[in-house]
Amino acid sequence: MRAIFFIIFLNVIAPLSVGAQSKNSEFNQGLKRARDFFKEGKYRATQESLNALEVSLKTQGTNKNLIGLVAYWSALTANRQQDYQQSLKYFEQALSVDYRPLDIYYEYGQALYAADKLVEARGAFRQSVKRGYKRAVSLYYIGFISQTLKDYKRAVTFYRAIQKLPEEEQEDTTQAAEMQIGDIFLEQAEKHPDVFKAVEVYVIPQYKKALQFNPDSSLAKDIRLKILELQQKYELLLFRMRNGRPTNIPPYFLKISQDITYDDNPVFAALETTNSSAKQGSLVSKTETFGRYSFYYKDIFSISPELRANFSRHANREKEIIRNDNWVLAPSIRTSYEHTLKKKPASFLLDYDYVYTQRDTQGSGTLVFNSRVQTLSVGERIVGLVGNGETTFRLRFRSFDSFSQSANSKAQGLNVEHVQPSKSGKVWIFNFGYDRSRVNDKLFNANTMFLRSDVIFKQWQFLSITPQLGLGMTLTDPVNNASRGMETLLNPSMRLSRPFAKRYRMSFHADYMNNKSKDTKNFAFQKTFYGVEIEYLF
Amino acid sequence: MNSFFIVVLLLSSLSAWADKGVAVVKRLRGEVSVKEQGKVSKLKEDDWLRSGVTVITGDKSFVRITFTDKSQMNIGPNSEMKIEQFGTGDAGVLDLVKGKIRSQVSKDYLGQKDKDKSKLFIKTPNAVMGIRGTDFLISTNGINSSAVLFEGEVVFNKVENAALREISTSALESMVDRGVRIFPGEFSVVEANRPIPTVPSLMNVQQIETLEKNQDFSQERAPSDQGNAKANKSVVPGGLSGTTVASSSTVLDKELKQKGIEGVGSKEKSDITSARGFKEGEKVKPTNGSFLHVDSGTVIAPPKDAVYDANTNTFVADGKSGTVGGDGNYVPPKNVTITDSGKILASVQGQIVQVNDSSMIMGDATLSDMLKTISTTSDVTSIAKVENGTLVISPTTTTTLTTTTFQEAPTLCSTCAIQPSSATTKPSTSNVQLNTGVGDP
Repeated sequence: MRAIFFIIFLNVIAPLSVGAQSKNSEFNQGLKRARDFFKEGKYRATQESLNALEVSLKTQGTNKNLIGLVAYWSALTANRQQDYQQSLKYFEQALSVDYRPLDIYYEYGQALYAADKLVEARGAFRQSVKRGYKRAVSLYYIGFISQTLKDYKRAVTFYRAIQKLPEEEQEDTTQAAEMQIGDIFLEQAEKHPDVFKAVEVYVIPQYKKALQFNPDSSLAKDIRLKILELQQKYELLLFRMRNGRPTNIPPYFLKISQDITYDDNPVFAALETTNSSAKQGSLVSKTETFGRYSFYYKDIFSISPELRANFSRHANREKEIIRNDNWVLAPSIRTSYEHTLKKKPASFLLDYDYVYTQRDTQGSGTLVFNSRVQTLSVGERIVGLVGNGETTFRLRFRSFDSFSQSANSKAQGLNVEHVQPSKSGKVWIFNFGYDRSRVNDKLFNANTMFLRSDVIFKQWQFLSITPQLGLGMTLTDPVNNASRGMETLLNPSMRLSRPFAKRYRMSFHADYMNNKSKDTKNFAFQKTFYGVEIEYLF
Repeated sequence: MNSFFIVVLLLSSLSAWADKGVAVVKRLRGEVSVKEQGKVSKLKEDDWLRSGVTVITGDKSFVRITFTDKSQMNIGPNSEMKIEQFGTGDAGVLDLVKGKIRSQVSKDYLGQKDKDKSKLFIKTPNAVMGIRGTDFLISTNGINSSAVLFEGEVVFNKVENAALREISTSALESMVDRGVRIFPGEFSVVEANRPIPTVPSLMNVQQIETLEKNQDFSQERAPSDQGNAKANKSVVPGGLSGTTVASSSTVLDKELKQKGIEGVGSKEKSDITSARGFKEGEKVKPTNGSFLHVDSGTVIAPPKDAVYDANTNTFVADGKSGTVGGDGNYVPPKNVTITDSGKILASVQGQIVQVNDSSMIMGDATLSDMLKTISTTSDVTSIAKVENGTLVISPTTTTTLTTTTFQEAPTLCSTCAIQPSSATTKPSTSNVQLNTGVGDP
């Protein structure tokens, strides 16, 4: 019996086993051959070897694992040759036999992406993330594909998800992801009605955020270029004039504001020669708009047209008070020629101001022409004359024309202003002025000296409030009217400003004025006014 | 007595070989001739060639000659090669005046005692190669020379023509010793206006695989139906680099190990740095994975968004930068032509403009970048035109295109016509500040 089994074993089982071993060894040799070609980068030869293995597998039967391995490897080889149509076929073959090595969805996703099958590629990268293979890059691909498909919300979500991964897994994707978010913001900003501001407020800060991840990377160079191009395109670039003085950015400035002030003693001084105190209080509403655009010619000249318009109305409709209701239209042109003085930046200034005012001078509820003031100023702005501050000297020639010819006047004056930043972050502003005013009715001729000092404190970080204090003093010498004597006007003031929302600023302000005059009946007055102003800055 | 007779017989047979020549024609195709002492005659199979003769091949022609030491030289089309010295006991010297040679040097020849010495020298008008390997391709257009190695090792250096003519093999040896050592899969180029050869770089894997197969120059130039010609777009998404998206072969290795087979292994990160290529003084290393236009010695770097293949340590160009022809030579993208003298000409808006001056070796400005730029610039100077179906190149070959794209690109190719020359016209970014606050004027 044993002999029979032995004979059966020798004749049937052993040859089968030897045959299987031989085929197995042959197959392994084929794998090794493919491995050697692959290692040398001979992908065509690798593919040929794998094709031969595929054929032998078909004849052998269905070893799903080996079929899967050969298909997967063929797909990788085709991917290395960027033959994605071919690799897709092999990946699908491997997946169909449930052969799923760790990187298969990542490689499959890349092939789908290159073949422009974006939705399918996104699905494959999701699988790759789930399986924990190259999670950061897979998330990036999902973000990038979503961005390409204009699914921006999802794109941003996936880009931002990269930063939630452990740092060592993020590879070099975080900076690129932040840059792509910047690109998405730009796409949105370019559809925004105020594209300039949107680029400035959202896009450029996002690119700057991306830069911070690695300022020395090769991508950082591209990001800087993007910022520069945007700044140039949207005129946000702070160019410097030839003497180093920075230009205004953006070149435009536009704001509207609404001020509600309580004035306990509105003073009527429509003719600049006399005044009249109401001696009763009123709320005053002042609505104002101001705009300016600066043009630069090369790096030498600048010219800035401005326009200011405001309307004031008193809540107390007493005749004496409503005489102060007015509206003002004030266009100006400011020019500068930039040069250097003692190797420091200096500017020659030539300005023209025009102020047209209508006022309810009769207290009748109707605004009529009140005055027209034209001022020509010639000046020089110098840096470093005192400390590191900026000093401006101006000569002013002023013409005042009003509804009353006798009050018309011409004035010449000198003004010196010095702006001094301190190391502690405060900014001091000192102002000195002297005006010689000659009125048609010589009784009202006057020489006026003006002194004022303001200090703007560093912002109180915890409240985001910027405080400002000021004290002004005006000495008026009515040269032909000894009864008034030398008049002194004192004006302490304070202002607290705080930005809110993105474009708004709110200020609380309070002033006290005390004008001392020998003619206490007609010229002396004192008053306090305080209020709230809200500005919207475009 | 018998042994004496055998020795005499051997010596006489060697003497008969020497009389016949140093090499025999084994195969030829097309028009192949030999020039000997001013006389030109047609070559045919089994003809013998003596030292001092020049072999000349015509268009689409090829000749395979076998030297007495069994070394085999395949001389490609439009080539001219002189056998300066062979079989004298000293190293052989061949002079490739123009064209290309694919050689398989006999291992007998390489079996000489001193393995660090060259067994054969091949000179070109501006380079010399010392052969210490077995399978290589050398090519020259008379201006640039290039060498590609498939197996073994060669050394390659630049030599000025005048200095090269009359020097001994020991002087040639000293010259090649100072040159670059090329290993399998690598190539190096000697350009007319660069003092030294490029640092050897790994060639595009498809190109080297195709070149290796095309030993007898029998394949046609038409683009290969394999590989990157089919690429739809770069697999690298904008913002990422080819190295970041690359995956290693570790998973494949793991799968193979499960079958009891050792994996392929992955390259170290330091290799990636070198793979990107560099320029350090006179040393220029093209990016690994660059294409070589064999006829002209022009190097085409993969584009910036090329994917990195960790397995071969090369960057793989997609179809945008061109592809590999059936003969293994580089085939530029549509509307771009590379002349045999190395001019890259692109057809832009009906004009033909030169993209480079002589060659383009590595740099931020890759061919696809340049093409993108010139297609958007209007400031182009026509330097070539098509007359009666023939491309006529104007004598003025320097075309400078001022573009914005290259403003911050480092100048890595001194010979490129497109340079970041206008970089100084822009304000420095150090001056760039933004008004982050809002304030009253």
